[in-house]
Amino acid sequence: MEAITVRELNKTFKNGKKALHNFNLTVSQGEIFSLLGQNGVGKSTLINILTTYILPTSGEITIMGYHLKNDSQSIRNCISCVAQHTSIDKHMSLKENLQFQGRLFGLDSATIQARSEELIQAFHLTEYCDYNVSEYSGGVARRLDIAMSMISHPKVLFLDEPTVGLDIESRQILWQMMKTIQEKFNTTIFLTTHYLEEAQLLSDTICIMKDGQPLIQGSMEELRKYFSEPVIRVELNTVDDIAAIVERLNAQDVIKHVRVEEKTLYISVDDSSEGFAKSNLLLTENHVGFCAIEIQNPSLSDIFLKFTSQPIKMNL
Amino acid sequence: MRTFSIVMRNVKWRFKNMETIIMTLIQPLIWLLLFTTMFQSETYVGDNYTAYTLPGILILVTLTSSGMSGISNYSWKSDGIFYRIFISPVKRSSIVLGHIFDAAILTFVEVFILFIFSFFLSVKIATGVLGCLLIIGLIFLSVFFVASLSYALSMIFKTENSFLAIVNTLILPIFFVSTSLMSYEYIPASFKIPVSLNPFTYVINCIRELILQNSINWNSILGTFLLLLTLGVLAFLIAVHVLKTRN
Repeated sequence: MEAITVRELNKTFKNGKKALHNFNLTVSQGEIFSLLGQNGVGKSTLINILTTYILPTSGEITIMGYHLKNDSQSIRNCISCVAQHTSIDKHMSLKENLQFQGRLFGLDSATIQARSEELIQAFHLTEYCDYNVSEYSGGVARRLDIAMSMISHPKVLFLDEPTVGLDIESRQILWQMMKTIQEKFNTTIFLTTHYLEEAQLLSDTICIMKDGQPLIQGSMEELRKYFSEPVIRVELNTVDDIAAIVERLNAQDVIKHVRVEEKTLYISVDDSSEGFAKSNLLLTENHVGFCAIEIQNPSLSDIFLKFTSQPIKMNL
Repeated sequence: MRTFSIVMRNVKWRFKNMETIIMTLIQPLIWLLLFTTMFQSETYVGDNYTAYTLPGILILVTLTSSGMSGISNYSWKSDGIFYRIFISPVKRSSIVLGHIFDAAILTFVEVFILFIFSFFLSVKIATGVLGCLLIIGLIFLSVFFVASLSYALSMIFKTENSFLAIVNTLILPIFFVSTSLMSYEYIPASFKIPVSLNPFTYVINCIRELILQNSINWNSILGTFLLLLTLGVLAFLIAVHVLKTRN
C-alpha cells in the first residue's frame, strides 16, 4: 500500500515563483524514501505541503489514504515532521517537551509516560534528562527533536535535512535512529538530504528532483541500471597538478568526463576495460602518483550529477 | 485539554520571559501616576480622579498586553515551535484559544497589580464582589476581542516590524479617543462621534460605574457585554480563518 501519493502537484507562490510543477510521486508504506535535489529545487516546499503547513496551488495528494484537500486533520494525526532547524522548547525540560508534544496529539498521561521512557531509551537520551535543554549540543537537540516527533507513533515521519550541521558521529547516531524507527515502529520515513552517501546508505527508494519536477525515482539498484556508465576510481597521492591531469584525461576519447573529490578522481567511461587500461597508462606515463585504481559501480553522486546537470526529463 | 496544554506551555514561556510582562506593565503604571498626579483636571465627574481614570488605564493595559500578544508568534515561527504546533492535529480554534487565554492570564496579572496599586490611592469598588466579577467579565471579553485581532494581525503581517507598527498606531488613538480621561460632556464636539463609535468607551463607562456608583446599571452592563461578545466572536472567527488559510 502507498503511504503517500502525489499527482500533478503545482505550487506557485504569490510572487509568481513556481516551486513545484506537475509533480508526481509515490512512497510505499514502511520504506525510507529520500528526496534529493540541489538548493532551491522545491524540496522544502514539497515537505511543507505534505505536512499541511502550506496549501498547494493544485494537484491531488493522499497520505495514508486521506485526501489532503478534505481531510488534513486526519493526515495530521498520522504524520510528524522534523524540520530543518530544531524546534524544541528551550524553556521546558526534555520530559516536558515530550509531554507537550504528546498532549498535542491527545495522548493521555500514562501513554506519554510510557512512550517517553521508550524513546529516551531508544535514542540514548537518559543521561541528558537532568540537563537544561538550552545547553544541549546540536546532535543531542536533534535526537530530542526526533524523539518528540516519534511520541505520537506517526505512520509517516518527514525528516527535512535532519543531519545538516552535525558532526560525523552525530550523523551516524541519527542514521542508526532512522533504521530503528523504520524497523521498530514500522514508520515510513520521507527524508530530504544533501548528503548523498546518507541517502545511499539508508534509502529504499530515491527520488532526484530538479526545477520543481522529479527527474527519476527508484531503488539504488534501479538507478544504477539506468545509469550504465562504469566509473574508474583513482586515489591520487597528491593534489598537485590535478587540473593538468584532469585535462589530459578528458582529452582521451574513451573517457566521458572526470569528477574530482579531494584526492580522488571519478572517471566515467564507455567501456570499463578499455577505460581502466587507458587511464592507468596515462597516469603512469605522466608519472602521476596514485595508490589505488579500481572499476566501480556508479555511486549516487555520479547518478545525481548526471541527472541534475541535464535539462531533459527522464522516467524509469 | 489540548487548549489547556498550549496555554500552560505559553504561560511557562511567558514567565521565563519576564520582560514581556514588565514591559507591558511599566507604561500603564506610568500613565496611572501621570494622569492621577500631574494631569488631574475638572473634566470629570467625581471626587477621586484615580478611581475615575482607573477604568481607562485598565483598558490601556488590556489593549497593550492583548494587542501585543501576537508578537510571540514571530519568535515561535523562527524557533519552529509554530510549525510543530500547526502540523499537529490540534484544532485551529484551540491554537487561537490557547493564545487568547495566555493573553488573558498576562492581562489579569497586570490588572491585579494595578488594582493593588490603586487600592493604596484610596480606590474602592463601590458595587462590591458582584461589581468585581462584572469588571473581570468585561476585561476578559475585551482581551478575547483584542487578542483575537492581534493573532490575526500576526498571521497577516509577515514581519515583526510591520506588526509592531500597526499595533502601536492603533493602541494610543483607541485609548485617547474614548472617555478614558474625561467625561463625555467635556469631550470636544468634533471628537464626540469617534468617541461614541469606540467600543471601549462603553467598556470604560461600565467599569467606571461599577467602581464609583453603588448601584448597577444592568441595561448598560448587558448591552456592553453583548457588544464585546459580538466583536469577540467575530474577531475569533477571523483569527481562525486567517490561521487556516495562511499560506
